Amino acid sequence: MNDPTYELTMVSELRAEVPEPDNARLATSRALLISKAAKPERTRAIRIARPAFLIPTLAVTAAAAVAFTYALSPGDANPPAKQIAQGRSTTPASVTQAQLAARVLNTASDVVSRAPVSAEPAPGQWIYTKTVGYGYPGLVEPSGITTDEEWVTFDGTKSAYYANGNSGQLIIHTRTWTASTAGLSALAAFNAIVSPKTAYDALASLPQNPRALLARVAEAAGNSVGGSPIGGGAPATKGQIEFAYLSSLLWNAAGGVGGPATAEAAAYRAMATIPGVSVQQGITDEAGDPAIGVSDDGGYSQILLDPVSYQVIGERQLSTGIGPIELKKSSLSPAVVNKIRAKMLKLRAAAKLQYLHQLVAQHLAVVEFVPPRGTVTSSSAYVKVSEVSGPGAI
Amino acid sequence: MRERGPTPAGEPSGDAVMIERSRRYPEAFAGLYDRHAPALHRYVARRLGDGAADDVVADTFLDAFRRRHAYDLSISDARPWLYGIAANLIGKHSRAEVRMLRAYARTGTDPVLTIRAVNGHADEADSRLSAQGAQRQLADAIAGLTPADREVLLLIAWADLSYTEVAAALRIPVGTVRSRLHRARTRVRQALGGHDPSALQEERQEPVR
Repeated sequence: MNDPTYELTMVSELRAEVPEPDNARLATSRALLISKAAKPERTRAIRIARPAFLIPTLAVTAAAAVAFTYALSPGDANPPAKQIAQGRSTTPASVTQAQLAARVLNTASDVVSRAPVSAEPAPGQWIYTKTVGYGYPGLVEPSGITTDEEWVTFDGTKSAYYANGNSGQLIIHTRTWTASTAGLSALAAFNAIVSPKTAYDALASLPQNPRALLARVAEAAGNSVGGSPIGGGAPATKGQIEFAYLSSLLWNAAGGVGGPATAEAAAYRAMATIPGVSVQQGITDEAGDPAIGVSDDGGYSQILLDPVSYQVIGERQLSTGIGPIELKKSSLSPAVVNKIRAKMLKLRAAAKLQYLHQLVAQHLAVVEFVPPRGTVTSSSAYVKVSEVSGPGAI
Repeated sequence: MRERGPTPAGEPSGDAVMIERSRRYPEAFAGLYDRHAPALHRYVARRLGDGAADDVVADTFLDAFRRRHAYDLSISDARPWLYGIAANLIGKHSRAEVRMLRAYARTGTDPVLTIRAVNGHADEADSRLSAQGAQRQLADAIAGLTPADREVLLLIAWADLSYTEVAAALRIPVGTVRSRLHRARTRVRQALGGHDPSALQEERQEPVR
C-alpha cells in the first residue's frame, strides 16, 4: 500500500529506538532547577520572602518530592511558639493567642500610621541593602550565616553586588527579560515582577477597610489551594494564603523604603483580623535585634517586626518536624492528590499524623532527615536599607 | 459526558496553572519538569545524542524558569514554549548535528546511537549498526536541509507538535510552517528516490494478475 506521507513516516521512524531517559539521568538537572528555584533569582538583590509553609528541604531533594502542606493550627498542642517561649510567661493566661496577636498588630497599625511619610522614590533610585541570612546546614542553601550587600534600583531593573566581598569587582546586572506590566493592576504587576516599587504600589492600591483589603489580597493571591502539591507546598487555608501574600508585600516593600504609611497601617489592621494569626514576642532576628514573630500557621513561618517601629525587619522559618516526602511512584494523579489534601485539611493534628503515616506506608517514603520541630531552618533580616546615589556607594 | 468543560476565559489551565503557581512558589516549577523533561530529553537525544541532551534539557528548563513571568497564561500546554526554547539551544549545536547525520549516512553507524553504546549499552547498539540504505539516505537528506527547515520537520515528526504549535514554538506564521515542511518533505522524498521503499517491496510480493 502506498503511504502518501511515507517520507514523514520514515523520518518518524529514524532513531526511534532512542529511549526516554531514566530518572537517574534526569535527576541532576532537576536538582539544579530546584536549587535555582529555591534561591531568590531575577535580580540578585531582590529577596522574595520564602513562600510561607514551604517545607524547605525541597531545595536539596533530587528526586520527585512531594511536600504536603502540614501547617498545624494554633490550637494544636505544643506549637513551637510555646516551646520556645517557655519560661517567659509574660502573657497573662486570660489573653488568648488570637487576642494577643490582634493587640500587637493593631498597635503596629497605630505606630506605623504615625511614621513620617516618605515620598515614593523614582524608579531608577538606587537602594542599598545589607541583609544577614541563615540556612540550616544540609537543608537550606546557602547554609550557615551569610551576609549580603546589594544595590538595586527601586523598580528592580538593575542590581549590583561585589563579586568577592568588598574587595572584588562590582558587578552590575540589567534585567534582560521584560514582562510587560502595562495595563495591569498594581497587584497583578507585583505578581508579574517583584520589586520594591511593585510592592510599594501594590500596598498603596489596597483599600483601607480590612475586609475589602483581604478580599483584594485573596483575589490577587489566586487559588493556591487547589494546585498540585508536587514540587512545592502551598498555604492551606484562605487565611494562610492572605497572610502569606500580605507578608510578601510587606517584606518586599521593606527592601525599599517600606510602603506608604497609611497602606502599611491598613495591612496590619487587616492582618489582625485573619483567623489563626499568632505572635511570638521576645525573639531576636538574625541580625541580633529584638523582634516579634507574626505567623498564621502556628509559628512555623514568621514575618519579623521591630517591637518599637513595627517595621518588617526579617522573616524566618521553623521546622515542622515533618517531611519532605518522596513518592515511590513518580507521580500521583491530581485526583488522588486532591483527595489526600482534602482529607488532610479535615483531620485534626493527631489524626493528621496518623493519616500521614498511613500514606507513607501506601505511596510514599520519607527520605530526608528533618530537624526537630521548632528548630529555625532559615531566617533573614535586613541590617540596613538606604537610598544611595549609585551602586558601590553606601 | 465531558468531565472537564472548556476553561473559562482568563482562567489558566494545565501547565499554565503550574507556571502561575511557580511565580509565587518557585519550587512548583519542578512539576513542569517532571511532566515534560522525559519526552524533551528523548527528542533532543534523537537529534544530538544523550550527552548534549542532558545539557540542553537542563538549560531549557533553567531558561524557562527565568522567563516564567513572561509566559502567556492563556496557553495551557507549555510544550510549544519549551520546545521553542530548546530549539534555540539545539541550534547552537547545529554543526554537530549535521556532522553526526553525515557520518551516519557515510558509514551506516549512527553516532547518536553509538555514543550510547560507549555508555554501557553496547549489546543493544551493536545490532543497530548495520543501517538500511534508505535510512542512510534519509539521514543525509535531513543533514542537507536548512536549519530552519530541519527544525520544522523534526518538531512535527519527532516532537509530535501540530502546525500551530510549531508556529508558536518558533514564532513564525503557520503558513511559514507549511511551506518549510513542504520543502523539507520534498527534499527528503527526492533523496529517497521519489518513491516509498517499503511500498515497493510490498508491490513486488504481490502476485501478478
